[in-house]
Amino acid sequence: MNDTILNDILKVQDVTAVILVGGDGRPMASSVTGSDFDLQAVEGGHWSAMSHTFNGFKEAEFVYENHRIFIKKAPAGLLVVVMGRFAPIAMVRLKCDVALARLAAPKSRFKGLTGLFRK
Amino acid sequence: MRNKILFVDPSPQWQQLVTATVGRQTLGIDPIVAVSGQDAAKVIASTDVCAVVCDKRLPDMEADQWFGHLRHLYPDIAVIMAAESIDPTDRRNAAALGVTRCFDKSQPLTVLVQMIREIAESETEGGSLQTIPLETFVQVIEMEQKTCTIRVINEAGGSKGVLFFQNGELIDARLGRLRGKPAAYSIFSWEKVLLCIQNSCAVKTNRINEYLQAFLMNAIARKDEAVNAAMEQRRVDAHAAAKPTDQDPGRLSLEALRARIRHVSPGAIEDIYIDSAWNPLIEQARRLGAFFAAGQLRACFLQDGKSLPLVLIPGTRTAVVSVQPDACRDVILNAVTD
Repeated sequence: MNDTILNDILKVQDVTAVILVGGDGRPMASSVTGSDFDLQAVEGGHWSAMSHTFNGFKEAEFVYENHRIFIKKAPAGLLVVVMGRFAPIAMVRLKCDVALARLAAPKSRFKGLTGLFRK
Repeated sequence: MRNKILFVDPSPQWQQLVTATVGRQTLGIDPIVAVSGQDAAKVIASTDVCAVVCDKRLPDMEADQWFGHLRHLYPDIAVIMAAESIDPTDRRNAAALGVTRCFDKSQPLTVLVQMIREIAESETEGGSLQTIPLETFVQVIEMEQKTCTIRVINEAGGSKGVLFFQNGELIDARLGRLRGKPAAYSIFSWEKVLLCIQNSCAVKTNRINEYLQAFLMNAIARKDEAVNAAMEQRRVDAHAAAKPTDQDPGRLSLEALRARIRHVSPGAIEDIYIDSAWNPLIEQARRLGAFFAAGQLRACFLQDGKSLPLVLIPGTRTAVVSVQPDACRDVILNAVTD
């Protein structure tokens, strides 16, 4: 489910990675395209320290020589989008807002059954 | 402050003789020597002297030319003409040129010393005052319609200015080679002064041409402006001293950043400053960039939703630009990273 939501952001031109980081600093989901960077490093990266550092910000954007990284506060963690310098950043922000709204929406479809099975 | 006296004479023997004698016999007066009129003009332009002792014959200047120069630019400085022999005609001519005294070199040097003493004492014949403000004292002079010369010594720095009064009216002022109102305004701008009163005034021409009260109002207004400007400058200096210097090889200067942002988004900047407290966040952002082989970090944009958005520009010390909430971040980020 989360991967599907993230894939929607990944479809935006020049976006290379979308990662949802939980409040504990562990990646909850990720969608990555291309092989410009070390996927293992991304998955096993020190997101805990990152989460701690960026705690308190609603949005952060980092402009690098080759890439741009957009971070948005998620309901429980951070949404991190890695893109090229020429990605349509306004579109990325919009997609992120939509994605976060979908992530925050109550998952009522299987809630009753799940509760029933747990019992 | 010790008085100084200028001896202008081409003869080395005479120079040695008078400087030794004056230095020994006239307490509180330092002798200075010049060998020509040009030399003396340079000395007197840069040094406050109470009197000039000058030979009638100078190698580079006629006596009347030199004495006229002194009378015109430094009317408050007493001039003693020295010569091998002086007849009554010389005395009359010298007096017409504004020479105060004449000294015949055949006389004992004690006569010259006595003349110098009298001149030095005449500068304070009306007394010296240290506690009364200059503005108050000149109003007393006006009320009493006094004719006098007031030598004003600035306690901060020791520079000396002169005010000339005829019948209670401020008619001229001298500060170095400055004359008239500009000199007077400068003298009245001084905070703590020592006043020396001479009960005569060598100047007759009015260069001020303004009622004393009106002049004082202008002078006080200028003094207030100068004080305010000095306080503002001190505040700016203190502010600058409190901030680290903006020399960082890793990024543009604050002024260059400000200019770039102003060019693309006038009015966007709320403040711009150096704040190394952001260095840890910048370091985290660099590590994050390293995960993705993103290259060198150029700039960061941060928004917490409560305070103004910030643009950080990394360097040895981070430059911080706080921007208006409605400022276009993309335009600003492009401007600072191009």
